[in-house]
Amino acid sequence: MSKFAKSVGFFAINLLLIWHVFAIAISPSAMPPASPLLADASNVARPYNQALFLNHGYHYFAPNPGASSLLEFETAPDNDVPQLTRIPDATGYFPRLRYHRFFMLAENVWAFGDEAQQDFIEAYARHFSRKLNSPSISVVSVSHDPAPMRRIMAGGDLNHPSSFLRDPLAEFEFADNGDTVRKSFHNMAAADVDVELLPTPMPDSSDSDDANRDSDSTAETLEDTSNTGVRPPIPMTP
Amino acid sequence: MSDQADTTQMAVHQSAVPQQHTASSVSTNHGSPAFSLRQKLTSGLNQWKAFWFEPSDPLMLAIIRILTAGMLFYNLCVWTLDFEAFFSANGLQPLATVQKIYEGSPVFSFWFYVPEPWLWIAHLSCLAIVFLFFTGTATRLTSILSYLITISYSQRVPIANFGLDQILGLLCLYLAVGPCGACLSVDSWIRKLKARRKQTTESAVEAVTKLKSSSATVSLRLIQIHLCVIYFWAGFAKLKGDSWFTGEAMWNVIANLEYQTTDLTWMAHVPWLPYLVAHITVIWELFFCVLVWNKTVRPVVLLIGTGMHFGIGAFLGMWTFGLAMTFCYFAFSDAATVRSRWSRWFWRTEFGKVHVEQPVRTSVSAPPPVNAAPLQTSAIADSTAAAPLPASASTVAKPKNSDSIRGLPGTELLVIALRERHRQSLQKYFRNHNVPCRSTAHVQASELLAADLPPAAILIMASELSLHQLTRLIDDLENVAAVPILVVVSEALMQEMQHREQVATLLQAPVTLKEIHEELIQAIWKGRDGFQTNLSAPNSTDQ
Repeated sequence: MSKFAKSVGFFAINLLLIWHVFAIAISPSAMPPASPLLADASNVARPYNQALFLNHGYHYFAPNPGASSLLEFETAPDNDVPQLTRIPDATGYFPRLRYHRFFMLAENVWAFGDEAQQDFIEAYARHFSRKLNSPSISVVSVSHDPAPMRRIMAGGDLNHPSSFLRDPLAEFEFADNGDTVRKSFHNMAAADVDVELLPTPMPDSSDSDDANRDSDSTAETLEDTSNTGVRPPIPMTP
Repeated sequence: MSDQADTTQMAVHQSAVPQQHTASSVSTNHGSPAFSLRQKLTSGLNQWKAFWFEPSDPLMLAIIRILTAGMLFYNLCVWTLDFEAFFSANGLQPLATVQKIYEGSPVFSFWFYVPEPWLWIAHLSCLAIVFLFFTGTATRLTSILSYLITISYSQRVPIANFGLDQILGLLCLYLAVGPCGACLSVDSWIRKLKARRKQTTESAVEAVTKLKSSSATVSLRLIQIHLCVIYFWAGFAKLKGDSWFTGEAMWNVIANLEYQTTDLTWMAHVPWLPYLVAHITVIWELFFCVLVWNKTVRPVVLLIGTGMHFGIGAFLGMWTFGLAMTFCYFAFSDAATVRSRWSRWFWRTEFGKVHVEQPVRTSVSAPPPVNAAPLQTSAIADSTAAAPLPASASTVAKPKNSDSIRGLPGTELLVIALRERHRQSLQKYFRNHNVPCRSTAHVQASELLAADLPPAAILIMASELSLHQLTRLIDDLENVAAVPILVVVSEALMQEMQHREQVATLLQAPVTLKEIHEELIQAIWKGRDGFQTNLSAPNSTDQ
């Protein structure tokens, strides 16, 4: 190989290394709150990071670890015996990694836009309606707050009913082949989400923080939240 | 010694090439700012090159490969339990919805293109490929495929992702960059078989030297830097939240029932403990990227991280994520230290039977140089033979694995000197005096060499070593080869060493080559463990 080619190759490799280090370092900087400068810098590297699956925020249990998000699936009474299943369910899923996967289904669904959320919730409902062998199923969002120290010191436990906040999400009815016969969503924005801190605008939200964002760019919004590691502040999971 | 000998050598060089020396002194104005800037730029460039491209041992990459591929294989096995639920087109993650999320983004997942009837075949193929990667088979190909498999699974089910997928993704990417199959792999085993068939033999040190590559360094550096980025942002992100400042954050994690695998709520009665853990976590994460590069504090930093991640595994049930993070720590380990610590096991699995080179033997009729006292040339059995250093008592007996080890153990002098001119001077001197001599500049490699040879004596030029490094080196050499050790030290080091109990013979610099030679003779004759009974007294001509 000629000396010139070696020099060019060496220069190219070094340039790639510098670019790569910049890309992985700048990616998490766009997590809100972030200045437009950091957001723009992160956007420069976003395609590269997305392609290589390096676009992560690394906001583990940050900024504040908070309540867990759960989902309950209740079938309509069949012979007066309603069935209830919940994700995550520590007793129902083994090994622990499997439990964690289902845990993330409940935690991370709120990171996406409304349309995607509804699609995913519907998919979950279809799955559990098959599992529970019931054509009708309702979905409830459950937020489980961590117990404060004083409750534990007073003899309480982590399962105190007051720590659970239930919010009906939707009802579904499915045909035998899985097609959706009927679906009814409640106000998704009223789910256990701190709306004002959401990085993307909710169509029926009263939040004005995202007024500068283009609310028509739903795809971009969804892409932002799903691929840059941007998550709502409900428990940021490692 | 070194200065005196070097002066002699330098005088020879100067007399031979005076023009060059003179010419070089007038060609450049060394005092100009431009020259100073140029020097700094050149120095910076050299440091950059050394940081990224100095060839390094791929052993740690191989270890990371095994651990990462093992975790990836486990991950895929767990996906098998709910494979259709997650990966079918109308499962928990509808394909159309996921593709819509990624619309317009350069996101790759081969699952977007696999027809529904082929899902299981594709999944089982992925399991097979990852297993091959784990074993280090066709690693160049399987590493790249494993990376594509990792990101494909993760991108197909974006909601089900968490930290484990992020870490596996970056590890697989960087493993695909470097030669992670050069060691501890089926590939290396096949390479060894081919070498045996060709009847080529090489020493253990030569084998390691051949393995070293710049791509291994690049790969390890990328893992190190990415780990620094992760911890920095993990810590920085916590600063955005009040609870990490108030210390309540750790309690909120502990009191989260969905994460909990071990009940730590007793900490409510010791509130300062979760507060302390919260503050330590933030400080450690923020400063990891600075402290980990300091070799003195690195073990402490990595130990804290290991404790934290083991805690995440044990108390929050995220063993997979916790362990995957600690896999990255191996990028900060020194491969030579690992090899020396586990050398017996590694050499047998990596290089099979190691052949030691025959020592250099001079002609029987070659007279010894006038100014030197040859070592034991007439003292051992044949008085006319230009024999090498006398074998130490520990090597008189048949060595272990003698069927596989050729050459004469205990006949060579091992010189450990960081400066090249020391090594050259000593090697030249001793070879001129019919003493087979090997030298090394690498402290870690010296232990391997000492174990492989073993030598008759070891000479250490300690001018570049600290007290801690020297005492540790002497201890390690003592463990692998019970032979006399002579150390040339500075005055300051001599004073410090004299207060310590150690087995080496110390010689204070400056000292001549002849003095070193004589001290070595005395050290060998003084001997260890019955040595004296095997050898006759030194010849008077040695004095």
